[in-house]
Amino acid sequence: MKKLKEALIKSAKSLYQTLPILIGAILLVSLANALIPKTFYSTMFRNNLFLDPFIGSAIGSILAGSPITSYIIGGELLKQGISLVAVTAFLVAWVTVGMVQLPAESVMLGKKFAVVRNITAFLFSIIVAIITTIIVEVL
Amino acid sequence: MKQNKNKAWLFLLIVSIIYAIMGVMKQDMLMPAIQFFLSVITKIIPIFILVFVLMVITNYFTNQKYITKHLGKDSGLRGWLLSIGAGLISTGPIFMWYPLLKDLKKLGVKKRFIAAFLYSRAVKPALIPLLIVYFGLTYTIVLIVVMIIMSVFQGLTVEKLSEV
Repeated sequence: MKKLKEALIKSAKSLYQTLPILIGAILLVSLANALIPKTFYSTMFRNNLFLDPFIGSAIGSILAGSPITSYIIGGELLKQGISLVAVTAFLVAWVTVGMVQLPAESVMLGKKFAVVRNITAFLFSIIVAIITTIIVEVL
Repeated sequence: MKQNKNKAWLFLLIVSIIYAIMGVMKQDMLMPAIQFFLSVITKIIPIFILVFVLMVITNYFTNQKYITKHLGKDSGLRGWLLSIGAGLISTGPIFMWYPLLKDLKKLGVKKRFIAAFLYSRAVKPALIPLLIVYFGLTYTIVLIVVMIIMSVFQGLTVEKLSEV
């Protein structure tokens, strides 16, 4: 019983300490969501096979939100003629890179870890996009 | 510890100042942002409770020895399966999981597993049908397999680079 009480207190304390970070991160995500119109995304692409995955990954890194939103935007981008590799980079970066959450991640998990994780996730999103597109085209 | 606590409140203060500036300069954007914030808060309450329960379980059952065995340096394949599997089934926004990951990191979980967990969260089993509707079955299967493999590479790369 004493051990359970200790576990409860420790967990509550830990969660309370991270509350300002969580609220701050959600506020930032909400701000980005309100400031960037959905029509903005398609105007960023240049129909360039090499540049578009990079742009897709960059847009996906800045934005945040439910993956469902990224599927909907990604589907619309495909309909507008944006390449599959660019859309895939966008989808993957959306969920794996978090520029908006970076300050929160830095405080919680360490600055170096957060920066390295986000930079490598950005690069990996382009690699994942290229590999996925090649395999899908072969199949 | 105290420094981290101060940083957390400073972060919230800075974000609040940004909102105050927004309130003056772009009033029409402020309400949609606040509405979105409230909708997210409402949605994450159940996840918040889940994270709390998991934290209590972690603090109650696990100790340094257990963590070292299952998610420490020599945990091998078991560590990868645990971290990627947990990432796949975890729900909600990424930042909800930071407190638990912070506690696990303190207990000795390797950085590679934390990075793999965060990367594999990209694949959400509940959202797979939607992904199939938008992009097709072949694309969905290939993307998921590539993402799972890549989460191992991501974990190894992050650990290597963050220790330089």
